[in-house]
Amino acid sequence: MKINKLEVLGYGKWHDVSFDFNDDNLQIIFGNNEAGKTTLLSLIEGILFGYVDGRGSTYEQYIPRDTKSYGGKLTITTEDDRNFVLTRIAGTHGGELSIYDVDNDMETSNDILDKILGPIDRDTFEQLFYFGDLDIKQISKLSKNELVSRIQKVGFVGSDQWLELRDKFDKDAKDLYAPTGRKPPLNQKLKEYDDLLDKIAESKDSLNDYNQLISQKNALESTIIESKQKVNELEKKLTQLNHFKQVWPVYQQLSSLNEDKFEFKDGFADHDVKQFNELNNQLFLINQQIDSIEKSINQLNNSMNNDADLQKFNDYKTEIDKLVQSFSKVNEQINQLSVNQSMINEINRQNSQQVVASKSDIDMIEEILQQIDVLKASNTNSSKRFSIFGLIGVMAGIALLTVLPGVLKIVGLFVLFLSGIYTGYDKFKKSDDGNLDQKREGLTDQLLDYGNKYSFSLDNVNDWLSEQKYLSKKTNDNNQKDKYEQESHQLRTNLKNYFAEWQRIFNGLNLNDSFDSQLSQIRTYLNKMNEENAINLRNNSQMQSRLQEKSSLIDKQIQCKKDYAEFLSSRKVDNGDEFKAIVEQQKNHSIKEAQLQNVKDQITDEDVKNLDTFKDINDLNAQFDSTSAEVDNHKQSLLNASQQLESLNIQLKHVIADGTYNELVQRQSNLEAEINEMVDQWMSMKLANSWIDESLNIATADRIPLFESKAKEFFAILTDNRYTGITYYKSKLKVTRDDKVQFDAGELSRGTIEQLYLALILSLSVVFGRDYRLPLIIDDGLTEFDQERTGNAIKLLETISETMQVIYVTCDSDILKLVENKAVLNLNEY
Amino acid sequence: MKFIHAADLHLESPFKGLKNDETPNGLWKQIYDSTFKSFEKIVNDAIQYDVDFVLLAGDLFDRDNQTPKTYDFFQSQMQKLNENNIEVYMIYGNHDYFDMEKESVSFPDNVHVFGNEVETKTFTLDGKKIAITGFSYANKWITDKKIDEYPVKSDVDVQIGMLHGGLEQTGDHYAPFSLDDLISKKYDYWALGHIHKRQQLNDNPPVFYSGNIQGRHKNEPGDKGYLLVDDSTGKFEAEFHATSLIDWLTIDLTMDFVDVESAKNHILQVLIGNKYENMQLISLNLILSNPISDGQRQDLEYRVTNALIKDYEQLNAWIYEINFRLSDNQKMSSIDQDIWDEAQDKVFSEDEISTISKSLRKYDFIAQHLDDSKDSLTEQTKMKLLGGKEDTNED
Repeated sequence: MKINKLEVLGYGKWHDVSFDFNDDNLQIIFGNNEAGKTTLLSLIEGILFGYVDGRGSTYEQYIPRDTKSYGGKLTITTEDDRNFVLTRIAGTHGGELSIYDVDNDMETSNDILDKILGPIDRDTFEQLFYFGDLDIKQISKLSKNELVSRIQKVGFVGSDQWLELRDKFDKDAKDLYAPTGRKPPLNQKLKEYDDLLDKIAESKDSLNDYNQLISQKNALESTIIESKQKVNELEKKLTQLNHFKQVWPVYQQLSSLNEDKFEFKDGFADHDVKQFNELNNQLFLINQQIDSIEKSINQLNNSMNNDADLQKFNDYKTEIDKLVQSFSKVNEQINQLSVNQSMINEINRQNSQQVVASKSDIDMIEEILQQIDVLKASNTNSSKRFSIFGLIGVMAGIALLTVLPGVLKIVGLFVLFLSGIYTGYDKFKKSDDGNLDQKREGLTDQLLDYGNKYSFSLDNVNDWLSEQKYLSKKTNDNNQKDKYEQESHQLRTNLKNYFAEWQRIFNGLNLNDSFDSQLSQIRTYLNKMNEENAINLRNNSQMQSRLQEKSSLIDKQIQCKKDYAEFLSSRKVDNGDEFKAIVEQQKNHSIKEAQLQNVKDQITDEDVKNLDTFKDINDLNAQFDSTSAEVDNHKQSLLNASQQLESLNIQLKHVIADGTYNELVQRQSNLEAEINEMVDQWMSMKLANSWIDESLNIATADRIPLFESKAKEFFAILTDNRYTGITYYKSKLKVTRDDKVQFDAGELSRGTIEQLYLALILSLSVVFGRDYRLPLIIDDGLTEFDQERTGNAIKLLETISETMQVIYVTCDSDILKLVENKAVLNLNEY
Repeated sequence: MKFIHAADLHLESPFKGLKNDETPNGLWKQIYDSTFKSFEKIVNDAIQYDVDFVLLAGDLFDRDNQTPKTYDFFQSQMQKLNENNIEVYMIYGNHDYFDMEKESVSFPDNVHVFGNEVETKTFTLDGKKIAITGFSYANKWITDKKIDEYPVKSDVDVQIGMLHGGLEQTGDHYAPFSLDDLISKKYDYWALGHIHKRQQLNDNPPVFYSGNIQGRHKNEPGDKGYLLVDDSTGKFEAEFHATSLIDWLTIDLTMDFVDVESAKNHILQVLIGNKYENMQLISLNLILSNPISDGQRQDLEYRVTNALIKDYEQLNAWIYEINFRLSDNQKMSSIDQDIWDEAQDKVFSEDEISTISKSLRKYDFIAQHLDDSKDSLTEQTKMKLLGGKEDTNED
């Protein structure tokens, strides 16, 4: 295919301009920098292979700013001399293509282009036929060795591109991972992975911790269960012991009550006691009654006048009665005697008394007395009483004088005198009373005058009077005196006999006493005796009834005693005390038994049996205390265990909740994924390189021989025939100098290697170009060459252009001198 | 009789293939909880459906990845069943192997663990005599044909076999058996564990793998759960109930790559259109008709990730990886393709890959990954080369 004309509709800086190409195959496109050379090459490529868009790429810069039309036309001649105009304007999928068949003057199918291009696509075209500016320049950047190795792969289409890619991958791969490195990311990831594995291994210990905790927990739980059981047991025991402690007093009571065995005898029950008491009471009552009767009998006995006097009295009852009959007579005799004595005494007194008052005086005195008495009439009572006392005194005095012996007669006289004084004083006193006191006083004064005269007092005036009277008689009665004495003696003798007789009976009778007294004593005696006899009689009848009572009581007593004895004997006791003792005993036992029963109700047999095992309360207390202590201990250890369990549970919870391991393992997995991804990256680059290398190796080995001769020719042209041969043997490229000396590519100078490379790639294009015949485009490839080499290069291009169109784009004006003018398209002129 | 057949809980075992930096925290939470939640759902269903018992056919934990949380959780779930009077019959598998002679663990009374030797547990249910036969792994591997020790159905009304292992051809390390072995025992139901993909090996008697209860990587795709087995129709019928919270999904998406943004939008449109009910962890195979550069690839990945971080919950979808492929008609070279093909065969050989990755292969997971991903590597490399060439062309 040869390009004849390029019409630009609008592309980059170019629009509505057409360029006619040289008829010959060599076409030099000259232009200064920025003249639009590369733009034109891009357009040619675009028309052939389509505009590349959508990648924000270089093609966009070619969309013209000042015209709406985009694209261009390419007039070509094919190998089989057919002419077409290829028009490609803006459109999807690389632009809208239309093909005009110039020979047939018609639009034709776009398939034509595919036929023309054959298998050559843009890539292949660029690799085989398009040597861009950068390509060649890059070669110059390569080291000699790199260049050499690249030269060796040059037989492969686009090899330099692949090699470039390979180098990039090589670098990227190294940047990603170095088998012995540290810094590349994959190395770091692997290190991270290793570290993670360590961490995981460490974290795995948490499972050991867990297992340990679980086993600790299990052990602790079983301990707790045991402890709880133990505590329960102990608490039960403690409760029991406590119960024992509480019932211990009861137990103790029980054992004390249980100590002796006691047999209850019949007949000592309450009703027996009642019976016993009744018997006793009865007996006591009887005895008391007997006692009381006996006492009254004794009393009666004591009150019986059983003395000798009474005995005698009763013995001499007859005599006494006889003697009593003579009482009046005796009394008369005594009186007679008394009178006789008085007479005698009077006579004696009168005989002894010298003062004898004259009759007139006496009469006078009597008269005065009489008057006084009249005056006293109003006061009779007192005078009467007075006179009675006086009389009694006188009489007592007389009696005394008569009865009493010598000395006592004086006493009698004194009594007599006193009674006289008393009587007188009393009369005197009474005479003062009343209205007549005055008159009485006159009389009394007269009387007193007489008293002074006859030495008497007012009190004994009467006595004085009777004494005076007596004295007046006495003288007449002196004879009488003897008579009286005689009679008195007789009387006295009689009386003495009589009383002697009494005295025989009544020993107490004092014969020396006066007869009156004796008689009075006898009377008293008789009265007493009679009284006593009367009492005795009364007592006797009482006594009889008492005795009768007593006898019946004694019968009762005997019966009662018999019953009592029988009561005792039937109970085989000797006496009541014994009975009572037994009753008391039994009663105590009954109480004990009641207590025992009461106690027994408070305590079970089981308790008793258990309590029997304790020595004493101290033993029980000791056991209680020790058990209590044990309970406390166990409770404490239970508490400790529970606390431990609690803390274990917390630890367990912590361990369980710890997602570290889980996360670490997941992270491991993730890291593996990440690493594998990087490995894939790395591996794909490494494999890509291997693939490129392998492909290049295959291609080089296959193809270099094919273009060896062309390459030899080109190399010779470029080196001015200094090097005459290129051989490829065992993957090694060797060159032969004109002196037949062979060199490895590596032995050549840098410039020579570049020439070799150019020769190789151009020969490759030519060889392939033979089949496909597309124009060879070189974009400013020779800028690095010196003049001589450039000349040689141009020579080479001319040689190549003999078989195919060569488009050389340059800004090097020197080149223009080396070629014909017609071959030059000077863009500076447009 | 109604019971649940579940296996391969792999409680708390990690998800594979996710990347730390990119996955949102909320999703992590779901992921961490997923195995637990799935099992919890099974337990709740057991209570809700009032099943008679639950069969757990091994691999309840990953012994290498067990944590206190796992144990605590499992115990609490067992306790929950216990409180609802639901018996549990379980065997240990190759991942949670348990040597009864060396170790001990206590469970609630309702949990019946089979010993390391084959044993049969019998009980009466609704007047029927039921026998369950099984054994637990004492080691990681069991090469013996343990199935030979299983007794033939004896004097019982129903006999159920529990077995953790694989068919002879799938791997002989795990108590290998053949289908005929199982059938010859004349059991009424076989509850198998070990294979994570739910499947029925035989119709009558029913022989089932219930599969695992939560997928953990892209090779365990789809919904996961348990089998509710019921003989009320006179025949043991197993009905699948999904309990997994997160499902793994691989999507192939072919597209013409124009630019990154429209590619991202296209991908999101596809996700929106699919209206996922369960959270899906998606491995996206993006099949492109033209190569893209590494930069474009990364850009697209970032943009997709960023978009999903915002919307993954609404979409119920998270793309954790995008595998870029070129459509088949993409050639390395128009004129040298034969050479590329020839080189490819040489380069993508196991030897070559091993040699290149030698220093990395000490990591098992890398070696494993590389061994598994030859095709993927080829695709990636191709994309790298073509995309890279595009890149250099543009430069």
